[in-house]
Amino acid sequence: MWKEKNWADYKFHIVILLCCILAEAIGAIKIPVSGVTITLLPLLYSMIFVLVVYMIKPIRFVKEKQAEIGSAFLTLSVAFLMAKLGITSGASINDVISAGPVLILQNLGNVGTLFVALPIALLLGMGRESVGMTHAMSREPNVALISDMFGPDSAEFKGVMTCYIVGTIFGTIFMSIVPPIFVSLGIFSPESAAMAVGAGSASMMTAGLAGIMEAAPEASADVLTAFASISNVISSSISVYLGLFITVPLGNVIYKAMRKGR
Amino acid sequence: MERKSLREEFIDWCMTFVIVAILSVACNVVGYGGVLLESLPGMLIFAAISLAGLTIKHFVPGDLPAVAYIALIGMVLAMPFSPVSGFIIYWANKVNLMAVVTPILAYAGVIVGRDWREFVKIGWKGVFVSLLVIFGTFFVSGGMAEVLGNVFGM
Repeated sequence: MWKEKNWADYKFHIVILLCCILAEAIGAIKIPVSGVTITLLPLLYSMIFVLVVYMIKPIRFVKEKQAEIGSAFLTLSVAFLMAKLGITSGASINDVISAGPVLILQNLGNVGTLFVALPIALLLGMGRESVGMTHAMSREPNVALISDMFGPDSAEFKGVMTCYIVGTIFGTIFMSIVPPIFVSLGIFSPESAAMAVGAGSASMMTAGLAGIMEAAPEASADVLTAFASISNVISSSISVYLGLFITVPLGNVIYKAMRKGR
Repeated sequence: MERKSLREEFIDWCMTFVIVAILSVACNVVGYGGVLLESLPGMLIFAAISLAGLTIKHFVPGDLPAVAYIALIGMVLAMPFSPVSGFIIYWANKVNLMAVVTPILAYAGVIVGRDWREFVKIGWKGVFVSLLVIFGTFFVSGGMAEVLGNVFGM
């Protein structure tokens, strides 16, 4: 019976190991683009290598079944990562406490995006799916919430899944490019940018964090890590409540108001 | 779905962490000049904290995610008043942060592979608005942190 266990699929895990080793052996690649340096990190290549293996049809042992295993392993390896991040945060606890109010309040940025993204979605002619799509930077808890509120066959659910899938595919790449540019150009301080990357999934957060560290070598890596990870813990703890009590009701109001205005 | 017993789940967690630790150590050695034996204590510490957090999540009802308990335990253990903080921070620092992240993204690769067909069906509007949501969240949060940072004199 142990052969059915997720961890017993050794072929799959060996593929993962080889992709990781290859990615790390290549190392970070820096591309200067007119004064701003974009850093591509091994975490991106490891994702792309595994994706390529998945896409190669003859390799039968990395397919849908392994996506399920991968999803279980992803959750637990994020737990592992959180232990490391928690330790770094504890080591910088004084900085965390002095930034406490900012750390907590900037999470309301999750609400702010609604005012921009929802009207634009409606102007593009989208229907009810726009409410699900823009209610949060959707990760697993948000998908579950929308499914609960509107049902898995609703337009809103289709919307939240769209944002979820686009986030899975582009979120990490996006986070490893955009926040470092904001830091390099001096629009955000490295500390603010570190807090802001905490809003998404753990992998988006670390991709953003790594990029910010590269872009701001003078800032304390431990403090940036602490800010990003605490912000991530706070936002993943409150995202369901924000959606339930604030962003979905507010989204409904904006939706109705804009529909009437036409 | 029937609920697995804690014992059964615990074995699954442990085996998973063994594999995750092998992957992280490999990344640490290949990518960040880590030393094999020096990387192991950190792995044991991360696994122990994770197991504690998952066990708490198993028993405590409520919506708080397991990662919140795990981060909290790690944080408390590493705070200056903790008798083990020096030891824990020393060994945790022997493992580069990115060595733990690269394997996570490798597992994300298969999920992206599975979602790819769904993704291709999404029109440009859906992709555009979703990217706008991600960008907006980053931009508004960062902007608020900038403003609040000034207000609170950070």
